[in-house]
Amino acid sequence: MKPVLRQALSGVRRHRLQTAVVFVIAALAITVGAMGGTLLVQTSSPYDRAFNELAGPHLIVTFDASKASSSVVAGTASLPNVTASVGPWATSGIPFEIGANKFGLLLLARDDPGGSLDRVQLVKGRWISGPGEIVVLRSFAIGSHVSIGDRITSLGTSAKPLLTVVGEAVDVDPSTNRAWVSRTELDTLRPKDAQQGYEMAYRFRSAATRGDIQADVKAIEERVPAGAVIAYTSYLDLKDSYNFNNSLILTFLLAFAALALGAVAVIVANVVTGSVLASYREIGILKAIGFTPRQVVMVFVIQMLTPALAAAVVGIPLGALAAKPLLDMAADAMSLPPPSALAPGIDALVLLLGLGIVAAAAALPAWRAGRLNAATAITTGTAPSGRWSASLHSRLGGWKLPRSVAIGAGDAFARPLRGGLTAIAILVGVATLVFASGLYAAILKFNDLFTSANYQVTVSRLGGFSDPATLDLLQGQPQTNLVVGDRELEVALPGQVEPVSARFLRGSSAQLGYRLAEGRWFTGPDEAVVGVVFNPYQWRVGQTVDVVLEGRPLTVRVTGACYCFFTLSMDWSTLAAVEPKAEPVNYFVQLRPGSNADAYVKSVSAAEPYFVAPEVAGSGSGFNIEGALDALVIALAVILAAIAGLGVFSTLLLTARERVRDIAILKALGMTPRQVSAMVITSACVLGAVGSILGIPAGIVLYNYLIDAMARVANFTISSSSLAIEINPLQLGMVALGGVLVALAGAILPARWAARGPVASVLNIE
Amino acid sequence: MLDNVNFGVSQGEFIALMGPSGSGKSTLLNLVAGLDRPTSGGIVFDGTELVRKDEADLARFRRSHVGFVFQFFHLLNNLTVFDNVLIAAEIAGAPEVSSRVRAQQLLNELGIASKARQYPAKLSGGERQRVAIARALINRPAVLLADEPTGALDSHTGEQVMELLAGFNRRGQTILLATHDAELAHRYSRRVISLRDGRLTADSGVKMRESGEAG
Repeated sequence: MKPVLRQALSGVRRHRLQTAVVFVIAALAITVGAMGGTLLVQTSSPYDRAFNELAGPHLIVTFDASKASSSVVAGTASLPNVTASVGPWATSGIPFEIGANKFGLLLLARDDPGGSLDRVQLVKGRWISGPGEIVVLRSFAIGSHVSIGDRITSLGTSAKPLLTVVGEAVDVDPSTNRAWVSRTELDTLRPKDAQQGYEMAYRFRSAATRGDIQADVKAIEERVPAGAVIAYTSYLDLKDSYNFNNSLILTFLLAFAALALGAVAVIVANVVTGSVLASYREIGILKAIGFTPRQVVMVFVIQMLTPALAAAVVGIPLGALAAKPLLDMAADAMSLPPPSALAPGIDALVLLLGLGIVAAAAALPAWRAGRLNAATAITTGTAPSGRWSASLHSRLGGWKLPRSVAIGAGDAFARPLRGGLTAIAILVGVATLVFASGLYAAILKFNDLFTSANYQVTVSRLGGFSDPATLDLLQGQPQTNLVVGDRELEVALPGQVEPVSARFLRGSSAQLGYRLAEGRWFTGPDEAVVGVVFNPYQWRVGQTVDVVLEGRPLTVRVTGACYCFFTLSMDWSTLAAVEPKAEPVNYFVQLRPGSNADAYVKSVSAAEPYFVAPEVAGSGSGFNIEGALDALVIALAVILAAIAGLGVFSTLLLTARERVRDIAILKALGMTPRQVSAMVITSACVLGAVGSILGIPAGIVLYNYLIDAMARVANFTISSSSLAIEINPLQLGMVALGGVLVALAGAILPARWAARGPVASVLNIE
Repeated sequence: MLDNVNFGVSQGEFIALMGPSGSGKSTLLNLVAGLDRPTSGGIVFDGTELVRKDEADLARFRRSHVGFVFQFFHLLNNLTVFDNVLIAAEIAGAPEVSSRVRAQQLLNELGIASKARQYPAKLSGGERQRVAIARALINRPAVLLADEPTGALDSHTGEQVMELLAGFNRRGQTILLATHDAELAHRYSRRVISLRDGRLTADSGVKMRESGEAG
């Protein structure tokens, strides 16, 4: 073993440049591997992870405090199917104001964020320690531009007390504007006529299906006075919501990680294989002095593993550091606690996989060379076999290209395996960027389809403010063109345990201009438009559907499919026929042309109604998906370009090293340094062009396959043609040009070295 | 290492540079070909000082004025015999048709026309050296530099190669040949320059001139 080790380590010292190249590429590969692996693991099943980390409940129930006392509510914890519970916490909806903005918050009186169930995790600041303090949701803080230390005014009482934001938190139910105050604080903030409630969180023995949850809710309802349960949220609803919201960004992250890993594996294999292939003569000499084939393999494996191990020491922590901002970004997008960037299992796996690829890539050619007899190995040396390159030369001869260009083009594939792997690395890079650009465009289009409805302001009614008063207020504004009332309910399906979400719209809802995938908008009672996203029963336009609304059976006909998040959208008359006293909770306001939505919101807020919370439509989400995707696409492009560029650099370096004699001959025959550079650069251009030209269709095929798979997984009924790849030819051309430029960048140093290389000393040594 | 080596070469001469290994023969040829640069002194070729030329100019000089035959042939293994010969003309930018005719003519003359489509790996040592000679001559160089052209060949093949070189010299080709074989040097060249440890120890041309002057 000692001679093997000595020979291997001396090889490391002797081939410093090659060792450095293997180190840099392996470090980059392991960095990307650790980053991709961490992203894959830490962002998959985000809801399940948050549910486990925060001990999420199966069900959160809100009780009417005027109908059930705290002790009655607490008594539900003893129901037979309940395995754990927490609460009750006093709760109340309170209007607030910060600057000119008004908003409603559902306050919970909770002194401790911890506990065995439904924990709240602080991501910034601290928990409340007494009166005058409030902790808000992270998503709310981002969306409303509220920071720690800001003071917000409670509008619930005439005293208008000020609360200081002391913390930002996440919990498993980020969908509402929840906030936390101390137990003693809530009473001082609550308006006299506001509804007071209690919230309890439960886990049950059986809660796998919506049917189980409904049975659990029924048991709770039976334990408390009639009408005491005013609302409930099941973990299944939240999970669905997460899956939809996050499937796109997760798909992007996963695809990015998988493709980047594929690209680096190809490059590492290419570089290491190339380095060993370039050492055939050395292998022959080792055999001549008595090394066995196994020892030869060991020498090269150790020689390559040495820089790879050093690369792992650098790459793994770097990968974790690089993953952190992306994990935080994804967590912010999902309103989930940011996961740790440390994933020891993945790091160990990446280390083993990285070293395994390097060892295999070194062992295979060394094993092949080790089996040659010593004389053949020495004679074979490092020269390319020549047939492929020669055939390309002769084909290019007919094109009347300058000889240096023709030779360079032939040299690109002088070693078909190495040239092929390098072109594949560029192909993977280009395909990934085409895929990323396509997905990026699709997500923006998707976003646009769902946010294209023509209303500018949404208004929510808070507390006891009435529907007629709200309507009067809104219609009294001179800028108001149209007000459409909205109420969201669940409708049951005969014979099915899973209800679906339905939205009832009052007013000329057709004028809101929701985008239709097919069919027409509803025009009267018993007609419905189905959403393309949550359509679990795959209803189609023209179909009649039996539903149960507020306990009464109803048959509705599907007239169209819209880019809406609700399964069913129906006219108010359909609800009114069943529940005449029903009132909208939200209002969509379409403004007259030329009106300013911000000014409108200020005007409505200034009209004194503490209990109305208007906001500019679409301003609620603080997460900038375009910005995040921009950052991801740029990060992806930079990493893949670096990997592919280094791959080209390594290939050309090895080729130049192998062809040092040929290059010296050409120079002796009168080839100028510039012509030598042109020859090397042409090789790079050919590799880049082949990779780019094949990468574009590969990226399109990959995109079409993945977008279809994604739509299937998410249960979308959007035709895949509506999300067909939409990258303009100029963009595709830029990506292809990028592939060639990356190859050129990788060729600069090898070209310079080749041009400046010695002649006499090379040709006189044989 | 060469030290204080001064001599001139006239058109049509066949000069043998002779000396043991390490005497500086190859270094001298490399300097004449512009493949290497002297630390001091100069090399004047047809009135032009080579030392002042940059790399690109030296490359252009080699294309048009020098043909080089190496001991180990130094053919390009991925090109056919014909392309190995033609490539020197292509690098020099010579017209394609006339270059092809010239390449074919040289291969005929050197007796390897039948090997034109073969790759160097399939050729014998003597055949490879003939290809190298054809390549060196395709641009009609002012001087043919041959560095131990028979060093890697058996004696019979070596003699054949020397006969070929002598034949080209008889038709006016200036040749500067490096060899350590005194017998070959004296048999084929009309002037022998001896080198030892980088110094010029004898130049039969000078003797001849001196005896001519004396006579």
